[in-house]
Amino acid sequence: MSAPRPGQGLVREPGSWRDPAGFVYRRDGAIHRQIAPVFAAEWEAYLASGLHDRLVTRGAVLPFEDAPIADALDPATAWRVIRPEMLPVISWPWEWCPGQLRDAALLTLDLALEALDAGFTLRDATPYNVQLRGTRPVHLDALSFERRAPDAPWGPYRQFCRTFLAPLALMTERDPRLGLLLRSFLEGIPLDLAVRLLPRRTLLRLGLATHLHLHARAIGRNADGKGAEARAVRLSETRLRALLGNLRGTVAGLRWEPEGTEWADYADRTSYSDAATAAKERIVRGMAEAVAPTVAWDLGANTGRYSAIVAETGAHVVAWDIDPGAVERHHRALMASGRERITPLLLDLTDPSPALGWGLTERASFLERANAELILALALVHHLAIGRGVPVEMIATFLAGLAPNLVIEWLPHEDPMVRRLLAGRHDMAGGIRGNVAGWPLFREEAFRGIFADAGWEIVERAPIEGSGRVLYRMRRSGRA
Amino acid sequence: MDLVFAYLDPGSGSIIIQAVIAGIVALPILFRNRISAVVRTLRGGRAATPPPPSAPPTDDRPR
Repeated sequence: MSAPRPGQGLVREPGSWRDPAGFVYRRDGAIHRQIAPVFAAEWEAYLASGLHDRLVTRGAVLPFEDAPIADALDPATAWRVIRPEMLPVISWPWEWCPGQLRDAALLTLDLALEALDAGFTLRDATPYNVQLRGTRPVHLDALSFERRAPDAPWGPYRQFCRTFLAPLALMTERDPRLGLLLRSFLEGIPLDLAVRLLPRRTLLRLGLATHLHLHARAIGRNADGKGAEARAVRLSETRLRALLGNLRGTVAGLRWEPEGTEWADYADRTSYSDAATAAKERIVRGMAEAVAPTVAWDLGANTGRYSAIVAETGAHVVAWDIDPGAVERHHRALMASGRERITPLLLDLTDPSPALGWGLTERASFLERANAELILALALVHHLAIGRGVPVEMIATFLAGLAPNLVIEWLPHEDPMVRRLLAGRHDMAGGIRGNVAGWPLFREEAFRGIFADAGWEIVERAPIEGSGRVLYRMRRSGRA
Repeated sequence: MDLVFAYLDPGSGSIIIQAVIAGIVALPILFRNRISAVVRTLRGGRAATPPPPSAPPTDDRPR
């Protein structure tokens, strides 16, 4: 092996190319950021103001350490190098429930207001500058702050409305699934589209009528030739503060109540006894302790009963679920309990986030972000197999591509939940249901064989007393 | 200076309309400030002495 050369193990983050003030890269996996000389004066002023220390102390902005210039990806153009704290989970805003997007928007506005107190302003205001630490938002980008020129208008006003306010209003006032529009519009939802999708009653709310409806009309009218007029705009600090305060009130008023969605009350009506639930909890805890993962992904986590148990063993847990109601409830419960290390996120396993953006490298796909040492698939496989028609072989192979360890639950065909799912599939009544006991999914031996063929080695088998269900702990054997 | 860092296109229409909207939503605040200024003036004019120390603090923040 040759001696390490400068530049070895250096990878520029593909999503970090917009801001001329600096860019993000990885050095042997660790996140670094180099700051350009052009931003030197702003950076010094920001640090000297004490604003950064205050924001880090209250957990609003991600802390960083200084690193030597020699660690720069391109030392010739680097003025400073910093090493921001690493986060165990990277998520995209269309994977957030309405409450998480709302909290991220409120954080952004609070930062803008607090910056204003110190004579600074936010240069950008987008959910891509925010990540979830646990379920609580934190702002990643210390380079977002600059000194405010006297009476300057707020540059990222349109960006905030497109990437925060419009999707949040669509989710809370129309349907939470509209958050998925952010997946198609990475720059934020065009306001003319947003107002066409919003209910007309939103015209009666001052904040939505102005920041979205009126704003959309102004963009349409001022598409060209208003540059000189825009350059002449002056906004006093009082008016800017009023604008940000009004945006804050508008965002705070956008709440979605998750009653009545598919899964939100699922944990309250599971199909087996309290004794079986206690046994399942005990087994899951033991299996998680045996793996001792740093990061675990709980697929189909619902409101996080088992995510909490795995988090108690010291892991950071991503609690993925398909239902916005479950994710919203989970998020609220975590915020209320102050529990850290659990991040609820939205995921449809049959259509996970693809790679997106410039060159399809800007926003990493679900698979590219897979960093868990343990996958939990509890009461999941029969939903995918019966509800969505995914062959069990494909599920086993997909899971083998996600993580080296797996805790998975097998259900017999007599299980009340399986019965209920089959009852909803009238098309299966004549075929599979007629011979449901013969389906490999419901023959434990065949189920095990399918997972062995997909490269899983069975480490532990634990029946859940009183339920007929069985928990398996498997390890990727590297064979298949 | 702002040309160097302004990598984000703020949009002419958005800048123009934000000033209009900020003007609308700032009205109550400006109105309240004007009232308190008048109150201060009246008190000052009537009492010919410094205002009492219990006078409420004023700033232009939304409450």
